[in-house]
Amino acid sequence: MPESAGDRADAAAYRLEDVTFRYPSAAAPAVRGLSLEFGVAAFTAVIGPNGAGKSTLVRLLGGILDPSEGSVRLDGRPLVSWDRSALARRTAVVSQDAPPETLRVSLRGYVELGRNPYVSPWAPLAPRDEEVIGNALAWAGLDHLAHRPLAELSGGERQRAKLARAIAQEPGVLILDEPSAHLDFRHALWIFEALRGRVRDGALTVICITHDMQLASRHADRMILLAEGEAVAAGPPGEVLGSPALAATYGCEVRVESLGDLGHSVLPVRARPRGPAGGASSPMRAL
Amino acid sequence: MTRTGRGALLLTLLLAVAAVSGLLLGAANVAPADVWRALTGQETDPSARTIVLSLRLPRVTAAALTGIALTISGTLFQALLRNPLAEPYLLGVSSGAALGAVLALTAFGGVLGYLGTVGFALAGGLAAIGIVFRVALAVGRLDTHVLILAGVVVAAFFGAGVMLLLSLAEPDATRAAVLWTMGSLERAGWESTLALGLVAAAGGTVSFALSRHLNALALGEEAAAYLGARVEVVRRSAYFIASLLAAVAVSTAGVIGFVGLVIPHGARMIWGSDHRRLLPLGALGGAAALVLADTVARVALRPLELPVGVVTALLGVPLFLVLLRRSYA
Repeated sequence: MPESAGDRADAAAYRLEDVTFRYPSAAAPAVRGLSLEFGVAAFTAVIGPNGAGKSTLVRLLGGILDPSEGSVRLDGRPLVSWDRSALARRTAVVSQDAPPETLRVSLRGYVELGRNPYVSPWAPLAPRDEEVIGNALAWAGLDHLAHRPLAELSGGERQRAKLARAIAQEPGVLILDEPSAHLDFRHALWIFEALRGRVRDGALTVICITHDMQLASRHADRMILLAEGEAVAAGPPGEVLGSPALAATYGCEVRVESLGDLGHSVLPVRARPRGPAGGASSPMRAL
Repeated sequence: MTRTGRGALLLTLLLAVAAVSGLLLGAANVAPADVWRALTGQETDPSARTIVLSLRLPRVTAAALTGIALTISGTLFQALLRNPLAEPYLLGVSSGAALGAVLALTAFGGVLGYLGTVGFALAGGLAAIGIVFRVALAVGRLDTHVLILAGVVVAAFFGAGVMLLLSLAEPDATRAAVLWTMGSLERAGWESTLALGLVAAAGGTVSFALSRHLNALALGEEAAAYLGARVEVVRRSAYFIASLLAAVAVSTAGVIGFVGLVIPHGARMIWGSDHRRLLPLGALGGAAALVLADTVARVALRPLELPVGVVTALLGVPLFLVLLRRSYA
């Protein structure tokens, strides 16, 4: 980072300092020595192969896991000192889990869960809560489906419902774990454009785990490449995708092409027969 | 009127009808006018007065409260375990209570009386819960798999204890014990009803306070945490309340199956998964169902009385199957 920590202290929503996390039964840490900043009203994409520690990073930022070493700070305060519901008003997380099929709830009822950190069970929702829910549904283009059972929606609509639920939390930071997985390109594009729009309005900090390099490079301000729990490259998307670290990390020859204002395309060319340099194991090795 | 409002109205009417028929009908014939006079404290035949105020009224109240306790307990277990088989007796509460009651009825004969039996049953139920939770908490956090396995194993252990006692007991004591395990509100008096009422009120209040977090828990524990729930606190309180409600219900009324499993499911099929509706509407439904079932148990073959658990299953299961078929068709 060119900026010194002091200059930009106010502009960082999340700050990780030398964070290591080890799952109790695992030999190697899932995340090691990670020092990162996520700026306010910035769109950061986090990429990396399966098993690189991306979902662990989401859990660390969401306060589900506490670092084994180092510290995670939100707005300058250690995350461990945040109260759960205060944290849920500041940060919303869209995880990969789909809502269970057996859940008998309308789309609106589902989005209403986003108001949990704000409301008491003893009183009905205030007009303001209703308004926030209505706006979130409208933003996600789902208002016409509000009273449909969640289970009847298509995969793309359900993914947008998850986003609407998170937006109903009125978060300052939105963390997403592969929001475009399993979606067709129209829905994937919609998600990135919608997020970009909210970031541009200055209303939101976005941290997005994704495998969608083209959309991420087009819409994100910044990209972080994770490999085996470490950040091996960070910076503007073009730089990260252009660095030799990309091919080494994925254990795969790649061709990266600039598409102008459409971002960059990353084309895998040939899987390397052995693990990437450094000899570490990778899921690609089986190929 | 909303669907929920209509449901609440319908269930309240159903409960009222059930309660009135429970007060009017029974083994003895009491004229409706005498029932009214007894209830309003007017001059009436002393035997009618005793039947209405000391037998039928506490019994109807106990049935309603037992229905409420079992339904809330079942609703909480289903929310916590996200498993359709979850029910109030899952963690061995019923076997523990049964062992306590059978011990009181066989080893001590009639010496302890009804309240003594209730006390022993409650102690047995709480002992079962205590063992199961101690084991499940040994891993640091409350682990669902450990909890269920510990519950099943503890239930088997206490069940073996029950059979041991029954095999050694005198025929009269055995019959009393077997009838107890089938579930009956026959001897419910005001003392046990009061205890049941207090626990049901406290349990209902805390469950409702947790209702929004229980809704979030349906999405998974991690998702609930991201929505502001202190998941460990919510889970531990809900497990504790659910088990306590089951223990108190089973010690007053014996093992009444079906209500705690099926009423929560039925309510969810009709009114959806929102616990802010599910808990109060289910509680009303459970109360109405058990008061009705108990009335049927008393009058169907009178003067013979059927075990109420048999009635809940015989009447409720076909009804539930119809609902199940419609709901998933």
